[in-house]
Amino acid sequence: MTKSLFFVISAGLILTFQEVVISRIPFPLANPSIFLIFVISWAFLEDQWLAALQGFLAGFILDISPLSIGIIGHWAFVLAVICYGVSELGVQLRGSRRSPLTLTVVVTAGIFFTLIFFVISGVLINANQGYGITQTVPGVVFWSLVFTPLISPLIIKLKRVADDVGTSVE
Amino acid sequence: MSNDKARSRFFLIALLITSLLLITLDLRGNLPSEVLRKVSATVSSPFQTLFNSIYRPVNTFTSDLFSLGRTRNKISNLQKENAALKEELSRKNAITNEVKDLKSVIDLAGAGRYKIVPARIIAVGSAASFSRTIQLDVGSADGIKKDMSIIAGGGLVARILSVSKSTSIALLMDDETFKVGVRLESSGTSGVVSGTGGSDLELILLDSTSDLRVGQRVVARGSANSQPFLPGVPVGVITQVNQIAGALTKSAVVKPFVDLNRISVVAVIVSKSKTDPRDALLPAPLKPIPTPTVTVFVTPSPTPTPSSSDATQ
Repeated sequence: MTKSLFFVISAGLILTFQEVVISRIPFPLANPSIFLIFVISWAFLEDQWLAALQGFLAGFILDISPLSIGIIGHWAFVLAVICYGVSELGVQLRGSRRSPLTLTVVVTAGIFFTLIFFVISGVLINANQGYGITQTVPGVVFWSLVFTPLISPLIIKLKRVADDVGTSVE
Repeated sequence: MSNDKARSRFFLIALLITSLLLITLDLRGNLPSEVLRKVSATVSSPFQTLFNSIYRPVNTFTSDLFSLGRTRNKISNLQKENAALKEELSRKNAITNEVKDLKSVIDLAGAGRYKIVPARIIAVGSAASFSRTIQLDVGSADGIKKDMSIIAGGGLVARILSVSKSTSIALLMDDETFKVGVRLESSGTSGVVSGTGGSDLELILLDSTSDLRVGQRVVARGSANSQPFLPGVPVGVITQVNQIAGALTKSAVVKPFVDLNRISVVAVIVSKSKTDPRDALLPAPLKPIPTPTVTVFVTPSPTPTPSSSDATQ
């Protein structure tokens, strides 16, 4: 529980940083999603049920973000599924899941499927959002390839701190 | 292990049902989404202020980073544009100079009533060939024949050596093998001017008793049947007289009216006027600048006489 709280606070701060700093920088194609990189990396290093919960909570934070105009619960649904799946993969690749290359590939693929899943589910639930798939998806995926190796050591350290905090509290 | 997995799946399904419930409530308008977002905004507000303070340096850095390629492209484009403009300016300057040269040569030809064919120098013989030749962009198709005179704005420049259909080769006046019969302005004293290989020419007077002064101007005397030289074409001005005692001839250094190293446009005289222009084609002589003379009168001061007081002492 403490671990999830730590995750929620970190995710909230990262989302704020994303909205205040990263999203205001005019990156080519689309802005990198530090938030998604963080959430999916975390899920890859986490157990399945916790990953699903944390994905759900991260999605909910994104849903109720002041800048969000979508349906509440949409991101929660998408990230719960994706984080569970990524965590399942992380458990399969337990030996190499802290390797930067593995993390980069998995996170990039995870972000790609997240965006696609979000678009498809958005169409199914008739969520009227402008997607701009052709530009957003390649842009976000490209920048996640660039940024994941850079910020993954920080995420791994943060995860270790969260694990330690969780263990000491328990 | 399988229990854990089943629990995880059950937990996931519970989460998904919750999500779908949230979605349904929101779509039906039963969820206070506005309130939730306001709460979220209130909670994130202090952190937004905090992150906002670091936005500017981060943005400056990244915009510099992203505009690096654009700046390089911009510099490259400006350099190309600058080079193109310089080239254009250089071309315009060259054209202006050519027009100026052409105007002066047309003026000269007009004054002498010569029929001319304007030509551009397209090549100059290499110094290694030990001859001062030029190639013109006019040839037999333009009415050019061997031994015709070539003039520029100031006067005589060369004579045609050989002609092809569209080009011709001419021997410049400063070539050592070049010789032209001349006469001195006004006096009519005859001589021969020949090239020296340098920038000056050499004048040899046939009559050693003739008067030869610095500043006297020289015009072509004209060859038989006006081939290769026409009478009255300005050649140069005497800058130095060589005094050699007992010599049978008199010689002088002549500076040509035309700077042979700077010509680009010339004219080939294809037919002469019926009358000899004599000295009419010579440029107006420079008026001597008067030297101011100052006369100083010195009045001696009166010689001092011893005074009476000095005498008593």
